[in-house]
Amino acid sequence: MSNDDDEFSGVLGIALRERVSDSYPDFDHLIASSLRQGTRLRKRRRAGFALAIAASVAGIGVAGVLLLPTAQRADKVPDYASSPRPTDTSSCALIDDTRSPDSDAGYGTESPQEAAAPEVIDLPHSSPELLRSDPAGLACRNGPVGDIPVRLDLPGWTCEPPIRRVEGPSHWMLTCTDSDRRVTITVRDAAERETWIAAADRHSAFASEVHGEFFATIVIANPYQVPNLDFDLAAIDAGLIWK
Amino acid sequence: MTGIDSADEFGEFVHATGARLYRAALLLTGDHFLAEDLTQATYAKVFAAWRRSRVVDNPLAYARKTLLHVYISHRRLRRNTEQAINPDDLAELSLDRDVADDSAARIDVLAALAALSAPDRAVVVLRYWEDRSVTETALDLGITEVAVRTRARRALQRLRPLLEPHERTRS
Repeated sequence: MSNDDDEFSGVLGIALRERVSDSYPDFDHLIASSLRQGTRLRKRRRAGFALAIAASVAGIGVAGVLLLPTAQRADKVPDYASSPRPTDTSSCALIDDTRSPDSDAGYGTESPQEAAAPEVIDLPHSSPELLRSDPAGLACRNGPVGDIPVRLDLPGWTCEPPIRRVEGPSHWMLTCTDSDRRVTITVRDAAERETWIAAADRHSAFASEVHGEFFATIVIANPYQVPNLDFDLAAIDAGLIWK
Repeated sequence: MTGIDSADEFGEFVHATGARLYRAALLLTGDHFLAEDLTQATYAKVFAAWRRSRVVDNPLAYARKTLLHVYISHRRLRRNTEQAINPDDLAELSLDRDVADDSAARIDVLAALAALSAPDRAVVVLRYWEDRSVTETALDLGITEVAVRTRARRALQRLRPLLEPHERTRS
């Protein structure tokens, strides 16, 4: 690294520290929500472990039957369905916070030490080629998106398939675009609206009114791409159709 | 360790480390809401693994690695929906601002970081905000030291034209 780089890196370090020196999270909310979410992760992990054991036991049983002589097997192997059941492949996507980072996309729950290094994680969901070629197939790999309670009906705007978040402070995420703008619409618990508004960055965010159990936040996908910060998020909110 | 003890200890840990992790998340994501989500997801995973010995031994190190891992995984998931920022556009945007206004200059730091890829940004945050060594950064991110140096050099080359005009003007 050159002397210029050394000098600039020093300046950069100071600039970074100054930029965030007065930023603090809402500790009470952070602790409460992390405890709640972490407890759910623990339970889910235990359930998954029990399921894996049950599957292993069942697999051993099937293997044992298959290894029997044919004459004995005929008495013991149950009939199988003659044709597979149709599968619902409606457009869906789901981020499962409980999966390990090296198993699939989404937030990982296994320890970083156990997980593969970030550079080599295989994340099929994140592959643009795969998503372009078969978004529904990939999306449904992890389960149905469920009944998202809102859609955007605004001329010129289109939305990508919603993403379902299994864990976390939000439930669904929608990315919508028009010709040159892009927003992320996140459906959240109505109970979190006041907290969310208190922490809001007014330049790039908007919170809808509460609709039943939910409200939506609308955030410019990248505020720095939009020189005009008078981006009319209220107009997008007006285009939201709630069920 | 009872559940209540565990929750109390965890609360103390969040109070002690929350600001630091949140600030790292803010630098990584460039957005307060995403930073909150990222911090919360990180602490949830830390709490889920709270009783494991390696977490107890050094919970901050575990939390830092988890934060980076969640961030990079999530960025990869969303990569197809986000567009890279053209540095020329950023430079134009930054020059439009009043460089004597400190708040405008502060915005430019986050805006400039947004021009970097997620792994490059993680390297910048670890090396120049956390003051982690090349070796420590490589361990945190699970990449080689050569990769850390390469990414750091590339990031500095990209950030320098975006940030230096302000520094010169202010000095």
